[in-house]
Amino acid sequence: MKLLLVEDSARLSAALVAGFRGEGFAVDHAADGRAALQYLQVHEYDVLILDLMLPHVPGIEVLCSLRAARTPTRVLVLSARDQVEDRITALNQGADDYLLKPFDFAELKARVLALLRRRYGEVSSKLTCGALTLDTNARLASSGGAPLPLTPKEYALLETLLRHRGRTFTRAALFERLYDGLSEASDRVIEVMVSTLRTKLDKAGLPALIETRRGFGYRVP
Amino acid sequence: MFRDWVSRSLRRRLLFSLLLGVGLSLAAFQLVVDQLVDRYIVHSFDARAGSGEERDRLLHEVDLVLLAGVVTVLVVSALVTVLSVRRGLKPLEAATAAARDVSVERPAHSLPLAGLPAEIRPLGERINELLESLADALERERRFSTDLAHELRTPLAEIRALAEVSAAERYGAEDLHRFLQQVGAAAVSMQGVIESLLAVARADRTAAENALEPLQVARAVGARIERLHVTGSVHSGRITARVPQEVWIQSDPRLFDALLLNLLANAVQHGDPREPIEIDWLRPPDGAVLQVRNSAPHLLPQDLPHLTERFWRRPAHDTPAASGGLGVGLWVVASLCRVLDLRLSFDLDATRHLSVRLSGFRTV
Repeated sequence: MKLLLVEDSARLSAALVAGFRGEGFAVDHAADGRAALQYLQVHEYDVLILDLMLPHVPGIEVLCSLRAARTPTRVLVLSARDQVEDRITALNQGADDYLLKPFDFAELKARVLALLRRRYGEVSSKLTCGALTLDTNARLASSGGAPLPLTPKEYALLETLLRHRGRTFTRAALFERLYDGLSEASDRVIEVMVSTLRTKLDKAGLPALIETRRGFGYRVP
Repeated sequence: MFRDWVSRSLRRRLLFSLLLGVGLSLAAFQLVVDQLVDRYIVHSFDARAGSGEERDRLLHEVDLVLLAGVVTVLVVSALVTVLSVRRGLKPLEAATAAARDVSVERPAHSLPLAGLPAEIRPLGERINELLESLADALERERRFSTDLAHELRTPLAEIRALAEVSAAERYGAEDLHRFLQQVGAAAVSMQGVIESLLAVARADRTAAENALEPLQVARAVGARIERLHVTGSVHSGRITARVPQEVWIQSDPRLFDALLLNLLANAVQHGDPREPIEIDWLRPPDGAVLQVRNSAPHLLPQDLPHLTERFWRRPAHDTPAASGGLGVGLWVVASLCRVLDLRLSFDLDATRHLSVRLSGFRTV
């Protein structure tokens, strides 16, 4: 799951990026509105966490620009502005949620996950495929009730494939969804990750869950 | 309720006084008329009336006419009195209604003074002065609360997020050390914000006028630099002050120190740490100037009009990470200059050095 964090406080950004990356999210960080617009032109994000008071281009303009482009990215406004008018303006301009600073990181994460569910039209926090169940809130995988130990990136890969069952993802498309824009890694890392994930799924009694379509990519049928 | 009582009481007293006056006037009038009737008309009747019955009847008629006249005068007087009293009380009623509208939510509502009797007018003027002071104080309090809440939300969010994220078990000692350092920096940032906003909230022009005292500028500047060294905000030798010892001004020492603190903190925060900060006392023909000059490598001429805007933030990639991007320093300086009646100006030269100049000092 890919997030864009637009926040000009270096300390807050560092904490949030570390927190979300630790949960397996791919997180890009823009420190001002202009950089945010550049990121949004190049990448597609599941959720945008947006501060309102930004250098160069105000957050509300970033939001308007995003909505004008009809991008399906969900937007959570994270602001120190506590006036009702600010919340109304942001929501009217297309924000999906508004969280006031200071906030609880667990609450921010829960809201981001809720926005992800809304983005993909899910009503439950559980994704299932046969005996495999993913709890998207707890970010845990289990097979027939037994926990399946996965790294955050492996979990994210599996969640992406399960969330879009039947859709084939190229290696580059998966890399784009799982890694932030400044990542130095090569997209061949996806091959390695699919391989290790298949081994773990095999051991858990879930063989052939991930299908390779030669020349196209990977999918969960 | 108190205002109601005053209004009713005053109205009753005025009515009573006026009615008593009219009644006494009428009684006196009737006495005079009786005397006149007795002296001129009764004697005339005595002379012309044939019998005592005729005379009594005529006198009775005269009495009825006089009584009707008296009653008419009384009624008309009462009506005129009531109308006069109502008219006279109208400005007072308007003032009372305006006073009823005064509340914590609407403190700036002044009492209308037009039409008030000259005796009550000074009282109304004094009440209006008090209401104005109250409104100013409440506005300052409200602004302070709003500013404080707003400015503290970001560093508080930083501290909470850093604490919660670092609580996850996956981080090693090095990461935790870095997180703790950042928590400390955020707390220092919060402290600076609180002190700056308190300085502005407490700054009052009248109070500053009352707190004026002779101040040796070189001493005040030296003491402030020394405190910055002690707190580790700036390394020794970075700030150079060239202020003659004989320069004395009239100022509020507490506010002047807060002004210096924010001025220098801004220079330290946004200037190149390898470059010096220079403080000079200049004497151009139009008056003395205190100038603080520092490098501003990322500042552009078009930024100058925004420097004192409270919510204006410099591009984050130009801002040192430790600053937290909270740019209230020069806004505080501008606010304090207004209170101390000083002029503030900025100049960015070709070498990208920002000069902040304070002028309008009352030199001693």
